[in-house]
Amino acid sequence: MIDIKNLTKSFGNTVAVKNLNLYVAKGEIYCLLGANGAGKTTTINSLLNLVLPEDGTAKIDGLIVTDEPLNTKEKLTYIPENLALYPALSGVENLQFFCGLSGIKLSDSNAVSNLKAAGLQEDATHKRVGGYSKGMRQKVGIALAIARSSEVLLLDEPTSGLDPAASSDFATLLTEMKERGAAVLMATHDLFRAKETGTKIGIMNRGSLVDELNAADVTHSDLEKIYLNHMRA
Amino acid sequence: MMTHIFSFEWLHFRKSGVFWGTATALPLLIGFSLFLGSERINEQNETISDIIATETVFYDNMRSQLEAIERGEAEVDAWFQNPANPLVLGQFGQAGRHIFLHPNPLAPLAAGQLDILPYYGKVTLTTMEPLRDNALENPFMQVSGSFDFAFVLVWLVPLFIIVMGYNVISSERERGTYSLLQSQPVSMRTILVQKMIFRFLLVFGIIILSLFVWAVLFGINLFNIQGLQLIAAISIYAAFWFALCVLFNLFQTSSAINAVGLTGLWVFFLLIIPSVISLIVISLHPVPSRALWITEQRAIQQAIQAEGDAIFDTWVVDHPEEFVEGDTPQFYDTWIRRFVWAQATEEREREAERQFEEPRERQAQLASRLRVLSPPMTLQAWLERKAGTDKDRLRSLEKEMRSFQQEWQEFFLPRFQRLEFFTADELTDLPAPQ
Amino acid sequence: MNIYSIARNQLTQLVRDKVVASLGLLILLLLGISIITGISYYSEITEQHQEAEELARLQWEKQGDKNPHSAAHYGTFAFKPVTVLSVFEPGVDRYTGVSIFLEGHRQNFAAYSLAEDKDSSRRFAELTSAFIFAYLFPLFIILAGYRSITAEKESGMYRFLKSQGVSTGQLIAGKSLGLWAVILLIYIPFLVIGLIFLFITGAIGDSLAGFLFMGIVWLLYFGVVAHITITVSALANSSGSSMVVLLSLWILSTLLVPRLITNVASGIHPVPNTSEFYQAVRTDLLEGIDGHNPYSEHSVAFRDSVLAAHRVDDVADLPFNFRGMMLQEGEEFEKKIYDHHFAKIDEIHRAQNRLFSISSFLSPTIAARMSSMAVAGTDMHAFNHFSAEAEAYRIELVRELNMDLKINAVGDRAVGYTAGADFFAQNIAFTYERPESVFVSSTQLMPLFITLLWFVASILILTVAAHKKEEI
Repeated sequence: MIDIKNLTKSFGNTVAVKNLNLYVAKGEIYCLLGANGAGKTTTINSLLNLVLPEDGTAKIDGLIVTDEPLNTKEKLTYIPENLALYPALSGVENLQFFCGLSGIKLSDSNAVSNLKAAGLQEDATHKRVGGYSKGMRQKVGIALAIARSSEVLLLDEPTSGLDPAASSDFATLLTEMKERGAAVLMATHDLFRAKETGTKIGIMNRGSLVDELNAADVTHSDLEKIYLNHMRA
Repeated sequence: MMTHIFSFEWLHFRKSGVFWGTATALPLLIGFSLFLGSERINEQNETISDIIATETVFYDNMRSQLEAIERGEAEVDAWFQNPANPLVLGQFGQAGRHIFLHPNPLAPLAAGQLDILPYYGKVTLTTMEPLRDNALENPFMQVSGSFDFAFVLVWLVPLFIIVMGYNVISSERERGTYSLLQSQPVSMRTILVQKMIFRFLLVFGIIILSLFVWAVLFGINLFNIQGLQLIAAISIYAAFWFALCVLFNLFQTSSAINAVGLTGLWVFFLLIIPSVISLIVISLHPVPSRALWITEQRAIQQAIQAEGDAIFDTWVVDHPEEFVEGDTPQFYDTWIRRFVWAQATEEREREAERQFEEPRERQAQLASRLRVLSPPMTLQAWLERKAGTDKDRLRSLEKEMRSFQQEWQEFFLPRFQRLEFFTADELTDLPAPQ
Repeated sequence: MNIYSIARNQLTQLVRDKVVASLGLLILLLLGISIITGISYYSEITEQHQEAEELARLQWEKQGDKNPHSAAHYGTFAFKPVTVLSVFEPGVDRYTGVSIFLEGHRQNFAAYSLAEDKDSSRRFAELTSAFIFAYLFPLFIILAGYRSITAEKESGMYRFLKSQGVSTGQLIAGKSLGLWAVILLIYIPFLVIGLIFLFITGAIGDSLAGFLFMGIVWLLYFGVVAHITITVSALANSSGSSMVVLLSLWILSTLLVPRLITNVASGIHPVPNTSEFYQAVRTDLLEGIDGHNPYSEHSVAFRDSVLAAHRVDDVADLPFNFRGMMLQEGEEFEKKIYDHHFAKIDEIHRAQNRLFSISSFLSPTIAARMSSMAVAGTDMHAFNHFSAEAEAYRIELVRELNMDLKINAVGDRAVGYTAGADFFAQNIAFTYERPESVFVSSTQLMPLFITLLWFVASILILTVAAHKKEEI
């Protein structure tokens, strides 16, 4: 579903991503690890057509992002690190608004059931988002993915700042999404969560993908060792 | 897509103080300005009808006196009280006609230059006196300017627009919703433009709706071609300011910078450009001093006085048929000379008056060319023209007075020159301005 | 010490802020242009008025042999002088007539205002120091100060400063001082240039007091704006809302209230229109003030009393020219009627001005503008002073003419009497002297007082804001 080939992008003299090749299949959660500035966000942004690669291509479902930015966006849902919504509107209204932008009209009851499917308490769905916690807002993001039946989910450090319970809830949701057949690409610093939830783990350093592992093949402590080794190299 | 964004914008606006503030303040401001405007027009119309009534009473009175004399019921005490005498009918005391620039249908919208230039004046055989109501007005008023619809539209509406539009995108960025919006299958420009169109329609709707409702209440007729032109002008002006808002939102600047920048542009268009234009216009085409003009007028009068006899003799030679020689009353000798001199004075003064008219006209031409630099100035000038309260129209009073004076003279002077007095019947069709 | 370093820090930040610095320079540039054009305008007008005055006098003296009463009808002119301070504050100057025609029997309005002849762009805005100070300078202060406290809150600096032991009061005091410093950085050069100009023109002796008063008025006004700006910034929860509130206040004070109040004032205290005015004067001349003592009766009674006093039956037997005496009597009678009606107009203007003063409790701009006009000698009161002097001169001139007729047109000379050039050359000449004191009327002190009140009030609210307890 997500197919990045030879992607290269630099900002001025700094190389953000160099010759990156990355593939995420349906039903896969790909966790991208790496230090700040390793190129994770640039990778995700290239899939959103927010950065234009100097070389290489990023494809979503076979469509080249730079050629068909709007069509590719139609297939994906992006949840930024700090998902902000319109505080004056309720969860339902926010969901209806963003769904509407991709041409999906959502009735109130559908919106509520999608939000519930994303783990939001029913009584919260009609409350103003201004009072939501970060975890609740991310659930709205997931509900958006569910409502749009997105085949691709792009997540940029979604669990940073979540308390352990909320983080675990979120992991469960991701697993559900995976089971629905979505391809999930998640940039994260959370080694534990990556090993637990991910199917595949990529480690990035200075713009390059330096390692790729199957989550099932490593233990938590192995992963940490491998990661630190790459970082110190 | 459009309806979707509109409906969600509406959802936001229903909950925003900015919207309710605008939706209350704008109609109130417009209403109050139109109220003051219609009061102004009522007052003008009252002045006009009072003066016309006084004029009518005067001439009716003259006629009934003359009828009484013709019937032999009354006698004439002195020549200057004889209602058959052309001088009494056309020149003395309350005799003469007032010329008015009647208010246009759209006059309530813009007070324009009415506080500076007169809209009516009195014409007799030798005088043309614009009646300057402003001479009695507190001059501090003229410094502040009028609160009229033109002011609300030209000065205040842009500020409401700026408040509505300065942060359309920058607020998304500051709130953090920008990143989520960016990942949607709609381009940011589409969203920006549609949001702006919604706000434009909102402001535009509030203005037009309150304008028309208040206009109906105050008896201003806008259901005609002029109303349509007004709608067009308002929409262009509002669109101009919204376009500036769009421009600022295209750059990745913060809301604060947008607000400062847009306010800066407002100051630039409404305060800086006009002051620079007036500076340029006045220094390139200075109008000579009126103080010197007064002494010049006097010099002309002195010259006419000095050459008086020669001027009169020439006139008699040129117009033998307009002069009765022989045993004429003394007032005839006095006044026939005065008319000749008045005409000579008038001719020379008009010649001298050109030194003011020419630079004034050049000023106006240059100013109207430079005005395009500032849409607010252009709109103000347009509104004043539509309201008939611009300098050009108000200055035309002089021309109208002059052309009526000619008519008035043509009616009375030949009769005076031949010493043919009037009969009561003739007084029914004295010349009057249309 | 804290206050001082906060102020210095604020000043440094503002001076380095490109927007603020370039706006400050723009204002200095505009001030420079306004002074240069103001000076050239002033010297041009002064020169023209002197010339006109001399010409008018010459025309009076060389009017030829004439009956003195014909000379009274011929009349002469008084020209409104321009004060040096109108370079900075033209006030109502452009809207009042430049000259008054002085003749026997009637008082005329001043005619030909400059505004009539000039293009109407000027009504949007005019480049004068007073305009810049009243409108643009407050915007500059707002722009320089609206973020002064909110930005510290938004960047988290506020919490840091508090943890360093800086109190809210110190922060506010420091920020205010910093803003004051920026204001003075622009204002002091203006004052220096102004003083140099007054010194060069030699007008410093007469106008120094007025200029200093004007300087203080605007400084108080800037203080009001600066204090309000800091207060709003301290109370607002974001820079954006601080900006919106301050701009709204600016619009209210500079645009909305001044325009509204003038319309309201003319609605509550309307002046009659010109034809009504003349009609009323005519009626009173014919019928007497309020129906008492009309001129026709008055003149008969007067003649009889004069005849009785001199024990004669016919005016021809009087030892002087009765017509001259009668004309003088009539002139004084007419003057009473005109004075009565002009006093009414003046009363209306005063009532309107009282409303303006009241409205300046809502708009410091009105208070400052009225004060600066007053001290510059370009307000309505100054103009009225000129009109009153011109009227006093008129009545004295007409008296001289009538006396000449009364005394000299006797005996053989009674019929066809004329006065000659030497008589007209001796006639009193009009030279307008501005009053020594800065203020010509006690009512001018009102706006000044309100400006001061605003200043004190602005310091008070600043103090209140500084003592507001808050949790961060």
